[in-house]
Amino acid sequence: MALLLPSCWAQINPVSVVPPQNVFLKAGGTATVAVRFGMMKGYHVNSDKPLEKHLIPLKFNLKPEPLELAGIVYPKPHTETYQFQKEPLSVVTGAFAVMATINVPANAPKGTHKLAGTLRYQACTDSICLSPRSVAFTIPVVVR
Amino acid sequence: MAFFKRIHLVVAVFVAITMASCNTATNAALKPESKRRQAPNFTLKDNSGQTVQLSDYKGKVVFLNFWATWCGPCKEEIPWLIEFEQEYKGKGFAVLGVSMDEEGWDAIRPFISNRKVNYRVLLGTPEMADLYGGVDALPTSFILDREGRIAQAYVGAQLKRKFQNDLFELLGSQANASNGVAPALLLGTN
Repeated sequence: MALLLPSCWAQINPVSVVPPQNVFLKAGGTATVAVRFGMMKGYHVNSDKPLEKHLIPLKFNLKPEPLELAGIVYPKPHTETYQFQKEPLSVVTGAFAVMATINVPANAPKGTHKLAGTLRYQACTDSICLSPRSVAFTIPVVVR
Repeated sequence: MAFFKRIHLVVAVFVAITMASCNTATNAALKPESKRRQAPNFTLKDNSGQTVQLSDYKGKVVFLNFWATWCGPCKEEIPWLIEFEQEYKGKGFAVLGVSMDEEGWDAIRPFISNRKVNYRVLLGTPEMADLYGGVDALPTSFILDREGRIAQAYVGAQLKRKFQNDLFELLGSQANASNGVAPALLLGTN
């Protein structure tokens, strides 16, 4: 069956990751890593704590093994209203960072560990909402 | 160096074309009958588990609305669709809401109950959405004429009066008889 509308929206990923640089850590140490993201102009994403239960929150996932994820700090949201959304929303716009605190166990193997993660988000403009998407990233951690 | 500059230019043009084709503008008027395409048939379940086919609605003007509980602009349209259903249900018209919520009825049921949705809501599937171009941007709506052809497609939030005027045009004298208001007099603020 022929498509009725251009499927161009499916090709748009409003949030992109800035590839993280190598992080150098000592065994037994702790560090906070900023994973930076960019966002297309005109879009916003729900914060990690949306004001309504139906809204899809920003969700940072990281597989830290063999290291440990000690905490996540999401970007500070702001409250906005939009032309076609009268109720206020807790959103993030523009470039932002998620801070991940990583513990390195004393017995962690030395060398480079590539920690894989994803950021799930749901983006809208003031008139359309895109289906939820995920952007994948890798944090290269060098344990010395 | 010149090669890389050219590559950048090609990429920039491609992105610009892609973005331009993803606009939310809608033609001012309904498509002429000669240019309308048949809406793909589908079979989905409604809130009560009943099987619904689009072909069941042949002979009616149908407002096919793709939405989701997480879509803000979609929520703004719901009261209008309730109003349209209430006003024109007996005049050869039906609203079909197709929810694209991945969480399914657990998310949809309380949402539509709270908002007292009076039209039929169906749970969409990716396969069904593909028939309509993927429907990756919400809200997306189609208005179908009595022959089941797509008279207009709307991507993104629209003005209520745009929907009203298009509905009036398709419903013809039946709509006018319902409230005595001529389409040209519809000057709502939404």
